[in-house]
Amino acid sequence: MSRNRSVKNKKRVKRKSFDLDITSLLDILVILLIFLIKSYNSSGVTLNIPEGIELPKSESANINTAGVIIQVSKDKIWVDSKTVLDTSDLPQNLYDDGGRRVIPLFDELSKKKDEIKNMNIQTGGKAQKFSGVVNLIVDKSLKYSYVKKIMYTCASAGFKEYKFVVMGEQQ
Amino acid sequence: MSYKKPTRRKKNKEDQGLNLVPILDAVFILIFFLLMSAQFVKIYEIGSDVPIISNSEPPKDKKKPLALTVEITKNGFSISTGVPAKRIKRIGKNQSGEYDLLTLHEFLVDLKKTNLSEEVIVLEPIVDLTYEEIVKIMDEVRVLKKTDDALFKKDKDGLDVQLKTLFSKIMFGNLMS
Repeated sequence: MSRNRSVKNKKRVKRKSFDLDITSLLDILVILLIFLIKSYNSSGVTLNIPEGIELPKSESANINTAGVIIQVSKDKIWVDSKTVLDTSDLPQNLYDDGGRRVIPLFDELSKKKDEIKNMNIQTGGKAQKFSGVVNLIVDKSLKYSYVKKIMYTCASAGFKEYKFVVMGEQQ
Repeated sequence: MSYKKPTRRKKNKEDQGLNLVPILDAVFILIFFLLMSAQFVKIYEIGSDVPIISNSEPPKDKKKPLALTVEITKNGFSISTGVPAKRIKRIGKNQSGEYDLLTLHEFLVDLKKTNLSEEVIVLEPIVDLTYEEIVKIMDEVRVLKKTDDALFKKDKDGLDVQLKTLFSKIMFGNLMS
């Protein structure tokens, strides 16, 4: 009897609705949203900067363009993040064309160019056309004589536009 | 005897709060999307074209190009214009033994005033500089700074348009040599 009464009493107690105040949470989210919009990468190009490469600083504010990416450090060369030259494992014939052209880089770039062109033909022109753009991610301490060889190799492989990737000065 | 509000009206007023849940959902989705495409390090590019060597005669009716060339030697800069190239200025290194980029920039701004439609500059580093130094020189010849004189050019409709760049089309002249 007494138990029944207690249950009845419990039922009678009016449940208070618990409202969570999310205004402050919304404030934080809006601030986060503004910060993320400011750092939004509108170019859509993702550039991977490998270890051992320090980019030079520049006043440039030109947004990156899509193209084949060549990364050059003191001891390695990559094409679209694939190692094509490593000083620890140098091939016998490294240069040709009077010491101006890097053979492994030239071979890889020619392969890339053919791949892009074939893909474009196979898809009936729907895939990206060969633009001839090459993004050069080069370590700032490298000498011009070496960079010139890389540039010459790109030109002889059919890439007619260089894009030197640099770090913005206003970080 | 004081007036007491009817209970039903009071209840209605409590329910009128703005429902923020759908906004919160949208904001969360937007944050994830932006987080995926955010670039926290500012990376840009400097464009340069491959020089094309041609033996054909230039068109006679067209205005002669400036053919601005900056040779970078171990003693400084040697600036030449025209075809065949004629040296118009030599800029030595400054007192601390570094390349005088300020004088180079000022000279190019003056040159741009008389050649407003010219965009091309040929760089010829003779000395083996580091890539970082080359980029610094490229910045000086390419960018028109806020402290420089404002340069205006007439557009197709005859309106004055302020120039934002100096000689923005950079080429490396000795690339094929």
